[in-house]
Amino acid sequence: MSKILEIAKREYLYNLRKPSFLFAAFGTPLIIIFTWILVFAGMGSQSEPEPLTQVGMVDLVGIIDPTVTVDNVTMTVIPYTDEATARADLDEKRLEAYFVLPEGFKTSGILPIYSYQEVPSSLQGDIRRLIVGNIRSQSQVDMPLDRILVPVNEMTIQILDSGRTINEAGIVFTFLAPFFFSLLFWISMQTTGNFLMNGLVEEKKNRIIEILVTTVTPTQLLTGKIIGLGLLGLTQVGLWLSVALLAITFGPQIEFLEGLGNVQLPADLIISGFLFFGMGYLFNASLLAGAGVLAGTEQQSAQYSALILMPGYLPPVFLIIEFISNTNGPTATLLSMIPFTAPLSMVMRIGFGAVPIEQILLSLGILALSTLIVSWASGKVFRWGLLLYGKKINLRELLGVVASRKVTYATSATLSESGRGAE
Amino acid sequence: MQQTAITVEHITKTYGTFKAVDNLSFDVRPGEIFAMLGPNGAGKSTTIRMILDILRPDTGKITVFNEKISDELKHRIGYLPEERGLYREVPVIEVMTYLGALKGLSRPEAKKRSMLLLEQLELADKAKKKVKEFSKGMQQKVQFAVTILHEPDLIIIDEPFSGLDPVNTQLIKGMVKDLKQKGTAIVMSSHEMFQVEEMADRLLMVNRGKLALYGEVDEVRRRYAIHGIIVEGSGDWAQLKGVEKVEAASNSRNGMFLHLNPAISTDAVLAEIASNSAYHITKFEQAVPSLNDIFITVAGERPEDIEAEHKEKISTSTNKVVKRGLLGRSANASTK
Repeated sequence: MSKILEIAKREYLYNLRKPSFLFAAFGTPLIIIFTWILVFAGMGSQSEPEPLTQVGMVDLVGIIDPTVTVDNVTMTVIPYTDEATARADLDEKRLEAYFVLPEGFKTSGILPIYSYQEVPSSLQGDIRRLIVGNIRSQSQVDMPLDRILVPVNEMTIQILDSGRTINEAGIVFTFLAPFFFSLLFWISMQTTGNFLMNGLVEEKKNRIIEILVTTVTPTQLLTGKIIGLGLLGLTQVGLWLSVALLAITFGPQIEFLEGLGNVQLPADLIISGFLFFGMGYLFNASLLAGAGVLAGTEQQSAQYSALILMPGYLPPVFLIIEFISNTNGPTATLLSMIPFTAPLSMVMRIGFGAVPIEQILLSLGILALSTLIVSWASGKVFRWGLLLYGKKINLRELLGVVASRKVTYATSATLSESGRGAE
Repeated sequence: MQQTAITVEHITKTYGTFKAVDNLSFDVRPGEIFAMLGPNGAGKSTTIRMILDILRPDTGKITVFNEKISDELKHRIGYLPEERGLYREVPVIEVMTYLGALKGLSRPEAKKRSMLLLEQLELADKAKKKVKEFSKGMQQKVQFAVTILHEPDLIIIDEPFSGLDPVNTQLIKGMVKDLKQKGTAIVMSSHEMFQVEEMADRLLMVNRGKLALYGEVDEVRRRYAIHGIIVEGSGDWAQLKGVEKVEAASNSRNGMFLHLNPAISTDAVLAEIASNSAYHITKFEQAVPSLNDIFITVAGERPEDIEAEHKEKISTSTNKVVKRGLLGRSANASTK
């Protein structure tokens, strides 16, 4: 066990300091954040609607006195006693929007705004000023002190035309966020998988593997590497997630990043991201390790890596529109069941819409079973090929190795003379 | 029962139709330098790999310190493979500490011992330099240090001095002798027999997988001693009393090798040369056979010829494998 940890520690620290890791860890999110800032800034300047004039108000808690005039409020506030009437006037287009001070507003501070169109941010400012002005004009206010200080805790804007509760700009981000989220996980999995493979190629190329095999068992070596690099991937994802959550939390407070307030990374998406990509990492790392010991050069390992990883990445990315428009359709469902494409496909689906829980469990089950099979087979190839240098291996030979009951190291001698290295 | 470092009993390893090791038996004792000699391809590395449990013998039995090899036992072994290397992009001291830790040392202990060894090897000032900045000889010294870092009871070094200059060869030889003094069993394998013959206590000569010669180095030399002398100088040596045959000496540029009649002593020959004005000598030496000479006597063929043959065999079998590989298969498929 201590050897496995020692190997894991080395893999983690060695690769952590690699320029390629630092670039992947910091560069990738920076590029994505920069792109988003451009997108948000562009959208912000284009999509700010005209200020509203006719706004309905349903005050169910009696804070607002319509006779009180408040400075700097540009809208005309039309009071209603019940929400149904306000809604009817909104439907009749006599109102552009209405807001409700619901029961419990005095303690919760939550205020919903309803409209059929996008509302300008100036409306929220107007409402806030209106409420603060009214509270100020009263001699007695029966509200908790923190609510008096900040009367409006949260305004929710509900766009009524299609039942969505987010504004139009937000729709784009509702789909973009899970997509980028899944992609970041994928990048991390790919980075660490390639580190595993290149590390093996390096160890074989410089022959330190000859010393390693007399010190640790192939299983210890492989397990240590997978753990160390897995932790490295987690570090990377953790870093990105923290940045993303910080951006979502504090971004909206910056004027041109207000759109970030529409981005949501719900807990179930994050959990399924870790589950599916964690398993996907084990699946791919096993394959890459098996291929890594057979690759003689960095070029060859890059080819093998592309062969193994691209089938999992390209279909879901190219079919992204199908995933968004038909989240539970046959294509998306099928792709989220195939072990190669499952991590990216399933996490994207979970981000885009409601996926039946039994499908999630089935996909996870298939992935777990495939990982077991692949790591078992790959472990044999790994042991067999560890001391082979620059030999071309054919598929039949590989299948022979996997099928054999007990596998020992093959060397150029065992292979060149007999054609098989497994006992 | 006497404790042995390695006991090898009748091991055989066959690759397909090729017998790499054929019924080999020997033992290695603590506190001795044991030379494993033979031309390239004789089966030395295969034997070492079987001792280290990398390969399994087809038949026969190997024990290390009277036990079947296990992971715990591997900690008592230091192995310097013939094909060797280190992590190139990492500071030397880190590589050493890591490998020491894998051998069961605590990290601080591994680091402390590494520094001590680097000092002995005159590399202490370069401990923080990356391996790739080291010359080949320096890397070799570091590899030797890694081999003995965990103070193993058994050291197996394959081709110990290849790539080392004479000064560093002496340095490493000195350290090996020190380890022997401490009771460490040392196996040195080499195809260049002269490299180890002066250090070894006992030897094993292997040829084509079979045991050719096994025993104390001094005893072997005595057994194969030739009654002859090597001389440099002038005169018609064939006419000298007691000389049976004259050859050019292989290990002396201008010298002649005189085979003597068994009935005559070397002293008598020297006296004859001194008293006969027809002869003049600048060098007179008792002929001692080199291990290389002994190998030729025993095997009936020259190591160089065996190696050349082996090399050819490897290149043809490599070609075979390449043809059997993926490329060959797809090429065949497309021509169908």
